[in-house]
Amino acid sequence: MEHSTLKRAHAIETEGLTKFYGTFEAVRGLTMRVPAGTITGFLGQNGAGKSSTIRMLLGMMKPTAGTGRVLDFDIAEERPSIEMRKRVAYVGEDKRLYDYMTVRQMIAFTKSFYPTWNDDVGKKLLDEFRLPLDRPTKKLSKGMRTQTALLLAFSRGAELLILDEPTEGLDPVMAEKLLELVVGAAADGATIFFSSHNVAEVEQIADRILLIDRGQLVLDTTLDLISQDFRRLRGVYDMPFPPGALAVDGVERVTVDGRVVSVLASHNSSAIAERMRAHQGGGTVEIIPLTLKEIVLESLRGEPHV
Amino acid sequence: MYRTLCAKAWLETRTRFLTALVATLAVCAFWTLGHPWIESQWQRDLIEHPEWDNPPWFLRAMKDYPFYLWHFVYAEMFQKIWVILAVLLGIGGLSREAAHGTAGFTLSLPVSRLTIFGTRAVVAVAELLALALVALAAIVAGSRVMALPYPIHHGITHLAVMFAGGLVFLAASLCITEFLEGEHTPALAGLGGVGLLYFVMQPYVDGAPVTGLAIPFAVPKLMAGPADITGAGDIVWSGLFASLGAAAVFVALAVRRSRQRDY
Repeated sequence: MEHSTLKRAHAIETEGLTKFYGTFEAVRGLTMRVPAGTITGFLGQNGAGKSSTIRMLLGMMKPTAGTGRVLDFDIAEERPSIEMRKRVAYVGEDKRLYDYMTVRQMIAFTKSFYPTWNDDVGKKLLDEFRLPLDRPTKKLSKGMRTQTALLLAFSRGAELLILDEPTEGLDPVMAEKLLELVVGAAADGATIFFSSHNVAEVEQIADRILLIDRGQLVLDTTLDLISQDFRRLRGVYDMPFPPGALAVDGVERVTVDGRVVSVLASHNSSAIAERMRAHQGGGTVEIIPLTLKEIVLESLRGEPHV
Repeated sequence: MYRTLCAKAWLETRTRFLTALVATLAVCAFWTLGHPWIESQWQRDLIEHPEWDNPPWFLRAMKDYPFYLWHFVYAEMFQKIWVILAVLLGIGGLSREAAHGTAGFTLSLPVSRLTIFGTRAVVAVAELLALALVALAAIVAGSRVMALPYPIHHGITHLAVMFAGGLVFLAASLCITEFLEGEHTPALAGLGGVGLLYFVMQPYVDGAPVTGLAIPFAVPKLMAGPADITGAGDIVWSGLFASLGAAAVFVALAVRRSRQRDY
């Protein structure tokens, strides 16, 4: 397909993306959209399918079923995937580099693949990180290796940065620095898609959240909507709460613990509270704002709706 | 891009190649520069131990320097080292990178898997060719230094045949690397295969006629070629072409596997 130069709506789109390893279904019919120009956090527990999804997006793995497009290029076809990778920078989870190259050689090697390579960014990061150019990468500390990997990614002049657990194993100072870099790249117009199981860092920089659990998307929302609309509603009942009584738009999850009924609402919390009061004979229903961490934990709890 | 990928393949195999270079020089220097000493040892053994049952090549090797070189360099010791070197030069690639944790970085580059494989294979072939040329130079130079007459066309022909045979082992190594996972598994499997092949084929290298089931595995004998080379007709061309065909099959299998595999 001809690459469109028009501003695209989505940097990443998948439809029913599925990956089996033998009989184990690592990614289950994943349909998601990553709007262009956003910082999207791809959250999930270890083994949820985040890395498998990213590897499929980058052409490292072939999907068992479903389709995907990154920057409008089909991920399943080799030629389009190569074209796509000219515009994408990727930092993997382990951030390993070629042991037999020095930092200088790694930079020269990577640069040769990217006509959009930005020397200014490279030099700035090199100064900032104080990387020893002539040291073999196998003799770098983990922090320095990560810094080198980031330099190689951020200097590519990429339209889309895909970062797989970028802060994994980093000390807090280095993690903070990385998050600043991500925000800076987004401000320069790049789309950022980063996987993490650290809710706090996602909350710190992301515009949008995609939460995956056991290979399935369980939450797709923005940080703004979370602070505006997500609420927990809690009421106490003398009589058993009738099943299906809260079949109201916006109810994501209902849990009953003895006499206490707790509702996770993604929106429409006023109407839901009204309905709860009606079953309570006009009693009190608490409406509590939620943090992203609470929403994630609720969404991953996996309990059925009442 | 191709140049940097070739440079990467070179840096990846540089230590192995330099080790191979030293081994090649050492073996060639030993059998050429050491000839007078070896010959004097043999003479003494003949006088002091007339009862010893000498192998069939022994008496000719004492008198005929080109035959001596053929026996020790092309048919025996150096050939086995050569094959081991060919296998070691072929080890690497994306499977090994997966074990090292760098496959993700490599595969995120805007380049096809075929290109990655192809540049690695080209560099390995170039390294093998360089080793053959170094061996030729070392044998010719060593013979000159020791004032031993050695027709250069013998060296050229034998090393050309060994290079062609070495390509089979190199291709097999490239193939094994794509199929077997782990950092050291492909090397162990490749070297184990070589050991088994030479154990089974040794009687044929020693002179038994190659027939029946042994024919497809007769690469060591083909690589040795005839002891006396008078012209191109002495080379078993059909066998050599069959070996190159086998190398092509190994490469095709490796490419197919590389393109299909998930990383």
